[in-house]
Amino acid sequence: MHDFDKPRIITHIENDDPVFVALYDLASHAVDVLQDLLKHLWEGNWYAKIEEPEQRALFKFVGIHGTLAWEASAAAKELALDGLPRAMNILMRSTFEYSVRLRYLHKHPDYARQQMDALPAAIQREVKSATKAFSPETVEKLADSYTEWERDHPDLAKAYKDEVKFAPMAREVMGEHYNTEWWKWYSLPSIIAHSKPLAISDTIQIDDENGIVTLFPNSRHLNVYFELGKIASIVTELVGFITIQYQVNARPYVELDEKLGKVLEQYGFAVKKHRIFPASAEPGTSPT
Amino acid sequence: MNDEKAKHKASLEEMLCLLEQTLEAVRLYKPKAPEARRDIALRRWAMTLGALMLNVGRSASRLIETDDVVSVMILGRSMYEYCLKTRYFFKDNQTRRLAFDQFMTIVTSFVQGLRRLPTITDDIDAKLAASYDAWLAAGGKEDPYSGKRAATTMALALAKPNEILKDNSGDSYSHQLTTSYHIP
Repeated sequence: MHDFDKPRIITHIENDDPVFVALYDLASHAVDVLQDLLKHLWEGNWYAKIEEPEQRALFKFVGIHGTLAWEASAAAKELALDGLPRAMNILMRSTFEYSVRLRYLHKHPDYARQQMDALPAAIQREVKSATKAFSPETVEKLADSYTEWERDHPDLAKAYKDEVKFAPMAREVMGEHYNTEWWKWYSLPSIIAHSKPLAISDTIQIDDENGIVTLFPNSRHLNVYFELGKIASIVTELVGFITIQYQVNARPYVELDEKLGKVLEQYGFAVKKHRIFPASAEPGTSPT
Repeated sequence: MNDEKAKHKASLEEMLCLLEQTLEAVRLYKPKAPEARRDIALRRWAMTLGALMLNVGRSASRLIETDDVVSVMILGRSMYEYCLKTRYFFKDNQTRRLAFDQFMTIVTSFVQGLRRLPTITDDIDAKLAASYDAWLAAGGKEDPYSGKRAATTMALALAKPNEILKDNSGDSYSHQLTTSYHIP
């Protein structure tokens, strides 16, 4: 199911700035620990041991959101080597989204089960709105199987339409952290992801005196150091969350968390170590 | 990298080079007569959307090398939106006006966003308020969403009539919008 072992490192690029090296190493460490954790869960025959349908759904969501978060953060850290912070920023916005969704689902196992069981409705919605992307036979076959499923599961078909919006999800799982972290992790990156008007100030600077326009192809305000710190922070919290939920060996998480604190204290001039999500040792929320 | 991937990457790089040359021409453009504020705003939008496309496009091209399909798809969605917005803003007089309206929300969004943060001190807040008032006095928009249009609205406005389809609920969509924006 996963392609965790594909080669990722491109060795012809170098950056020996000590701050970059420390933050890149930290981000790489976090991404590697997440990768090992997902492999451990996925290859360890865990799924077969879970009996409750809600817990099975949650485990699948760990596979989905965990893998997506791993892929996006691994890609973002590679982009740091080329000095491309804007795309890193967009990818970390997605990683934040995966983290929020995973936490929300764990707070609402019934909803998680409902969403997983309603997967045929999700597929049908996409197929219906992109019929040209599939052969007519496939569209017809999927429509037939959906009609049958909808007849057998009218409640699920309706429940799928009552999908919870992202902002309320984030507000619930972030608690008071929402006030400070939402802006950094979602609003600010949305400026670049959706080319909002403030993106103009990130790309150009106008000297009104002589009319000289300066273009900033690699971002005027964002930098790879800040984004590497963000990768390390959010991936570490995700590792901690999954570690507590599935009660796996906590040592890799503890070591990573300690390293995060040390490196950010020494080099994280823009990213101090602070939590994005509330801390708790209780299963169903994030760890201390 | 296999041949097919190399071909796609080369074709993307070629387009990005053309875009870079175009952007440079726009950057160096000197109007022969004083321009309307609306035209200046439109050119700044063009440079911004072009620079974002170039930068995010180069990032996507880089990730093609490492097979980061999901991330390329996420970045591709933003690239589609940059393209959509550029074409929409240049579509007609009405959409040019919308581009200007959006341009005139820059300080509004900045100030409103920052003032929501609990870490803002009274001193900073007073400075932000002063800059906001000056901005409004210069014609800035009070509503940060002035001129904003959803991606779906822009895509449907740009689609040819035969490209606009209806789903079972009667909502309009286009194949390109779904595959480039909604599915990613």
